Amino acid sequence: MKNIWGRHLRKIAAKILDLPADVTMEMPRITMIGQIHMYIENHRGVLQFSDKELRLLLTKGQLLVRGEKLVIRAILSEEVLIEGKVSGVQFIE
Amino acid sequence: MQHRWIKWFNGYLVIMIKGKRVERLINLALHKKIEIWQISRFDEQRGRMSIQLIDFFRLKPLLKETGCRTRIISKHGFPFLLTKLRKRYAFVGGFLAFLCMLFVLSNVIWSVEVVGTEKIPKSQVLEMAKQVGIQEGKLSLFLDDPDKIKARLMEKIPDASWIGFRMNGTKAEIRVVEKIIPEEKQVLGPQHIVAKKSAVIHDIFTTHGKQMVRPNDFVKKGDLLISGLIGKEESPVAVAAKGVVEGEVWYETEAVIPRLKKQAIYTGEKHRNIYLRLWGYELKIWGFGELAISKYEIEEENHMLHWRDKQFPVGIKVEDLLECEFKQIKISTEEAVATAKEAVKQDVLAKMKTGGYIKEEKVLHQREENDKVYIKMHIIAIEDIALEKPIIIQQGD
Repeated sequence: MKNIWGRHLRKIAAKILDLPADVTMEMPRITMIGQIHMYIENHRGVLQFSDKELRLLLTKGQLLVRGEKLVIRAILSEEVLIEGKVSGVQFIE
Repeated sequence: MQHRWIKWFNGYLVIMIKGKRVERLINLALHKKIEIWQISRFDEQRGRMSIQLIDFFRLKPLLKETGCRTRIISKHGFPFLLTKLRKRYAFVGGFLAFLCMLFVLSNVIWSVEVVGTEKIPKSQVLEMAKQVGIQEGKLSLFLDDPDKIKARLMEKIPDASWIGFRMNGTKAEIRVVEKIIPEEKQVLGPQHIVAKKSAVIHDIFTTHGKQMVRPNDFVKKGDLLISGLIGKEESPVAVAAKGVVEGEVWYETEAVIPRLKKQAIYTGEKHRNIYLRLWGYELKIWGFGELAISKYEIEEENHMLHWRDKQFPVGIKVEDLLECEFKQIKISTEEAVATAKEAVKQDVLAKMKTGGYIKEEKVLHQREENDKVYIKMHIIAIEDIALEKPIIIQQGD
C-alpha cells in the first residue's frame, strides 16, 4: 500500500514540477549514438552478458539489448556504456 | 569514471575471467565500488575485463564467492613501466644523460658577438670580455648578473661610453657605444700664404696673419699674399697665416673636334656562345652553328658558382655576339663647337682645385678644316690660389 501511495505522490510531483520521468520515477534513460554506442542510466545490475546479448535489471522489469560484438565499455552502479553494433532494444515487463 | 591517464598512472590490468557467474562478479564489483571497464565475453565460460591495479587485490574475495578464476593478459601503466625501466637501467641512464647534456650544452656560450664598434678593435673587446668571463665554451650558468658584467666591461674599456651585455640563447651579445672624441685640431706651424698661380685677386679673406694684397691686385706665382709675420717690423712674431684667397686665373685652351663620328647600331641579330668554365679553362658547349654575322660587338657574362662568399672556380660564360652596323655621322658645326666648349671647360675644371668655378668664357678663334673644328678659348676662372709656405725661423736672427 505504501509503495503505491509513494508512486502516486511521485507522479503528481513530476506533473506539478515538470521534472523528467527518469529523475522522479527511476526509469532508465537511454542515449544511443547510431548503432555503435549505447548509454543507459538508472539500471539496477547486470543479469546476463554475452557478446550478442545484454540483459539489465531495472527498477521495474528488465531491459534486453541485442547486438553483435557487444562490449561494456564502462560500468558504474547506475550507468552502463555499451559499444558494439546494437540491433535491438527490448523492455521485458 | 576517472580520466584515462589517471588510470594509466595508477596502473591497470587486462584480465581473463574464467567461470560461469561473470555477471554476478560484475554486480558485486559494482557494489563494492571496484571499477571495471572494457568488459567483453568470449563464450559462456570466459570473459575479459580491465581493472585498476589496486582494485585487483580487492577482487580476490569476490572471485572466491562467485567461483571465478582470473589470469592476467596484459599489464599497463606507470607502475609496470617502472619495473620495466628498472631492468633497462642503461636506457634510463642514457635518457638522463641526454637531458643533462641538453641542459649543459644549452647553457654554454657558443659565440660572442660584438656590435657597434668602429674605432675600438673587436679583438680588444673580446679580450676584455674574456677577462670578465665571457668566452666561447664557458658555461653561461655561472656568469654574474648582466649589470655587473656591464659595469666591469665599462671599467675595462674606457673608450666606450656605454656597454650592453645580453645572453641571447647561446650567443653572448656585447653592444658597444663608443665615445665620440672631438677631432684634434692640427697645430699649424708658422707659415705664409703665397700665390699658387699668377692671378688677379678676386677676393681675399684673412683669418690669421697680415694681409699683403688687396682685391684687383695682380700677383705672380709665389707672391706673398698673407704674411705670417706680425707685430713690429723690428721684432716680428711668426704665426700660422690662414685665409681664403680667390684669384681670377686666365686659361687659354685649344680643342679639336672631328665632325665625322662613327656610330655602331645594333641590328638585333645575335649569336650566342656558351662556355663551361673550369679552373680558368673554357670549354665551348653551345653555339656551334655557322656564324651568320660578320660585324659584331661582344657582350660577356660570367655566372660562377658560389655559396655565400665562397667562389668556386666552376661556372658558365655566356657570350653574345651582337651584330651591328657602323655608320658615319656628320655633326653640324654648332654641335661640334658646343662639344668643344664643353670639353675645354671640363679640362679647365679638372686643373682647378674643388670650389673653383668659371666666371667668363670667350671663343678667341675658331676654324674648320678637313671636317674638323679647331677652337681656341679664353677662360676666366675663379679659384683658390692660397698655398701654405712654412716660415723657417733662422736661429740668431
